[in-house]
Amino acid sequence: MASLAAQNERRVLHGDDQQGLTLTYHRLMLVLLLFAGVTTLIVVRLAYLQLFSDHEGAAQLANPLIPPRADITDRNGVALARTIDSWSIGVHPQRVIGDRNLLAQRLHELMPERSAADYRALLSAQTSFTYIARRAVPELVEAINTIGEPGIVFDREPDRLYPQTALAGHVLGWTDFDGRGVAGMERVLEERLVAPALRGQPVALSLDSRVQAALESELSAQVTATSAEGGTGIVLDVDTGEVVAMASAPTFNPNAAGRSSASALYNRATMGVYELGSAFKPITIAAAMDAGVVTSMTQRWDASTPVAVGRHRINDDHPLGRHITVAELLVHSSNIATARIADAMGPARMQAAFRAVGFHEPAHIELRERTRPLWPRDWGRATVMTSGFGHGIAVTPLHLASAYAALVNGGIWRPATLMRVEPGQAAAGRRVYSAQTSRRMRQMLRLIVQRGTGRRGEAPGFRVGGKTGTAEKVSAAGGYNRRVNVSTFAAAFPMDRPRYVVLVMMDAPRGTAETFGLTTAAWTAAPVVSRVISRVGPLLGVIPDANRDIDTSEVMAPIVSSPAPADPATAAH
Amino acid sequence: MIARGFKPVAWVAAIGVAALSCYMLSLRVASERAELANLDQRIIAARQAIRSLQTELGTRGRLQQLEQWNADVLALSAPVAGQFVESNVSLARFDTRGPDFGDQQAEVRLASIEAGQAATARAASPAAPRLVLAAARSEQVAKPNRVQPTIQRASLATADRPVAATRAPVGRTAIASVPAVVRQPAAQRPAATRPTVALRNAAAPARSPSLLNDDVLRDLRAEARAERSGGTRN
Repeated sequence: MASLAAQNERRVLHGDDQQGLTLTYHRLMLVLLLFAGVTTLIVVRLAYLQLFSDHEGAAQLANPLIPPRADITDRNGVALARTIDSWSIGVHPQRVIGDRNLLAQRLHELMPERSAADYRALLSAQTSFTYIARRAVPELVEAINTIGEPGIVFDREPDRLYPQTALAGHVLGWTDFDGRGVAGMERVLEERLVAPALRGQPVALSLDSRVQAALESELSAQVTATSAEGGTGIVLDVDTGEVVAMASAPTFNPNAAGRSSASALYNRATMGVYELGSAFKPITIAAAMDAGVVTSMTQRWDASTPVAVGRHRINDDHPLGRHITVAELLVHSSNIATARIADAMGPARMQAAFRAVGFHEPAHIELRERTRPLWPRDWGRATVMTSGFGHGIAVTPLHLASAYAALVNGGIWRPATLMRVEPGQAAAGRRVYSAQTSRRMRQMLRLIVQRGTGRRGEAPGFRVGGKTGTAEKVSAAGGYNRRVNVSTFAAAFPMDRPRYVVLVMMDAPRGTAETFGLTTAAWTAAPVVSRVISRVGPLLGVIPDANRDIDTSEVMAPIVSSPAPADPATAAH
Repeated sequence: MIARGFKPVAWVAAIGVAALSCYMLSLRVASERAELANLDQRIIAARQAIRSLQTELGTRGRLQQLEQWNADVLALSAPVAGQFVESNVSLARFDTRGPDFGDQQAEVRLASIEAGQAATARAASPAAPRLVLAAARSEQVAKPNRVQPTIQRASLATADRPVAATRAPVGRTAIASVPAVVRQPAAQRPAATRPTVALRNAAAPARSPSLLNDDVLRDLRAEARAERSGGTRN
């Protein structure tokens, strides 16, 4: 009935009414569309939130665990560098509303490292923001917060922390104010450390923090005891070229690198080039054995009279006055006999011998803090002869350590590396000595420690072999100073199957009562090597055994009749 | 008729219930999710706390600090060659204890068992060589013991006899008889004078195997392996 009535009413509508109705329909349709549109919009928005907001949230949740800069660890996973959130305290000087003088006084009481006047200047600076303290402890933040000054603000900022403080500072380097690496491995690994895909994974260096700590403590103890200008120590894996420890004294704390002196920041292991003296002799002898100049262990070389070449005169500190074998040469560290062998080698073969172990180019290591060796420009007869016993050519201690690794590991030279090498992934290297020569060198190096100048480098049970080197330092005025030495002891252990090279160099040590005033390597560098090996040997898996040793009788047989030197100190070089 | 009239109502109710249960389900899921997210956040916070605590611990216990503590208080030094044991034989060299009263008791029991077996199996011949051997070796074992403080040995000897006299009758009579039987053909010594000594010595070699039995060696090896694998090379 109702519908009929409506039909009847619609029928009686006039033209004006018809128009108004259409308009109403249009308006209704518009409103309908509006509602539909709004609803669709809300539905779309909801669907969007449902679909995407969840993932966004998850991503935000995962983020806090990935540090803005990757950690650096040692080979066993001990953290050496980490990024932590630390409190920083800043001030907006324009927004300070309290009494600035009173505020400065309060800040000075809480942080006495700066004077009240300094804080006063900070609080009234014309900048919009300035730091008052970075890396503040929570207690300090709380104390300053209770002052209640709205102009002072607190924030958590990522900050690079070196938990082991000064340990391996020269290797790690440090970062600048903005967290970019500016030295050491922080600089070398910059790209890797901040790469978004990789920064969750820590970077493992080849260092062993325990070995590094032992080396640093023994080295710095000796540097202090002998009042040396500095010193350096390296522990190198002979089979992989991994640097297990690298120390340079004096050290610095990378947490506050800016406050260290230039001498402390200087890495003597890779930046300092030194004439390393007699420690070069094994390299010369090994090259001469491979070249066929030294033919047998019984061949004798004249060490009876000094060699005159040009205006130089090569002499021994304690002349033997007779013909000696190469084993005797090394045991007594004879310059004369070494010079004769170097002379017999000639400039071409001597240069080739040094080039083979990389003495003509900067040390092979990731660090960018390294120096080019001083390679002689003119290879005259005098240069050839003196280079044989490590004068006239200056290399870094790391060069020498790598060369010694090649001497004892069977003759393969490998570049040194500070990155951990997985087992079986070691660099192929290149053969520089024959296996037979390397075997002989092991015997002779052991003999030096048993009977020669290296006796103070012996660590009982560890079968240490090595060579001392005491060179005179070039004084500022030019020319050598007899009293100022660079004393080096380069050693490897255990000699029956060498695994690590340990090198210690003391820069300008002074004689003490314990060393009877001597500054030679036997009295300054060798004892450090002995102590370091005793401490780190078991950590590195080398078990001391007093009943085991390398057979040195083959090289010793020709010299067994001659008496050993009465005291290691007497054979200085 | 009435049922048909209520049909739409039933439909509405059914749809309402279905919609409500769907909504409840979704609400339940949402709350679970929120809880999960909350848990995730707590896990992350805990991990961050762990990391910062590890950092703090590492910094406080840094190697330089340990070194300083060692210099000030502990005074530990690196192990030397003599402190590493290469083989079973060198480990056995450390066994230089003098036998004390506790050992004595244990040995007596051990020897009595052997004597019992020997007595039941056969009287003289199979038991004889074993005990003679033990006695002979006991002389060797006894020699290094001489390095030990002599006072200790003297006190033992005195302590021994009264005990044997007072509280031995059950076990000891049987034992004492065995060496007496054995010794007469073997060593031609007056057995009656030193029965307790013979017994003590007879058991001495038995202690070495117990010191170095398989369990001990296995433990040592496992520890060595653990130390080595946790060492520097990995």
